[in-house]
Amino acid sequence: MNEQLSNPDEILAEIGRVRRLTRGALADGSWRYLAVWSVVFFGSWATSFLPAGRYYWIVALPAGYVGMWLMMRGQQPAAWNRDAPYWITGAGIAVANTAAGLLLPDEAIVVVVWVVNGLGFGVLSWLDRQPAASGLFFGLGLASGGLGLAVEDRFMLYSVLALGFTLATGGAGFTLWLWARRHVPGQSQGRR
Amino acid sequence: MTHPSRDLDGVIHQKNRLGILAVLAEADYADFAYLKEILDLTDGNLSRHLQVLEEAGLVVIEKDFQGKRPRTRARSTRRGRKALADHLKAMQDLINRVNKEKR
Repeated sequence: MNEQLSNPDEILAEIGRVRRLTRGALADGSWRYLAVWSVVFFGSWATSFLPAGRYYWIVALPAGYVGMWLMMRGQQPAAWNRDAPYWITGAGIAVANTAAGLLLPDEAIVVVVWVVNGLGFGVLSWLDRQPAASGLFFGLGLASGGLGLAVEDRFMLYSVLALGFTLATGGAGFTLWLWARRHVPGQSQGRR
Repeated sequence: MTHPSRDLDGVIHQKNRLGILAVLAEADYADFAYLKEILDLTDGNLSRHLQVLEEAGLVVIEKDFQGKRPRTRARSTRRGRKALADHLKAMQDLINRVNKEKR
């Protein structure tokens, strides 16, 4: 960077570049947990056709958290956010889904779990400063609730939403991974 | 009516310090090495700019360990985020005024 401010237009453009790069550096953390939960959601789709599928989340939820910890372990992020809001949101998702599992009938659980996941991942993506991904997950969460009211075959709906969330988390994770590869220092060439 | 350039903050008017605050507006924390690379600065230059911003109460420098490796990280204060927002607004006003005068 030049030492002195000369052209305000150029300075603002440079500020924009720095901010974009930093959001890209943040994406280097985001794609990891999205990839883990994409696998977890795929599992919920795959097991939804099995009688034992009703117990899937008892195993999958802790497995997802362990997977996330393994993916994040040893990372040396260039730029990052405070951990607490993420863990609070993650805990909120887990508590809400567990409470739904204990208190609601099966026909309600199979929809509520996707509403909770959609809103929860919307918050997580918002914390990541990824408004497009956040909008996608909020939209999916609200659409899940709307479909739950409209569609009678809830168990078929559960499978469809599981697949939808698999694709959404997988697609968002892949996009952020590509973005991070372009923006994280030392991971690409000819960045500037 | 005062000229918009009077609203520009002298401490963050310097381009690299503006860059540091811009990074810290997007992320809660930034690693020293990342700031150095993204702003294309030497260790000494970055340290000096961070010191100026810290003395003005706009950033906080923290040292910790990640595993066994020491790490220096910076974060913006609430005052730093406000100063950046005010400064960018003043610059935008300045650009708008110049463009208006050109017409």
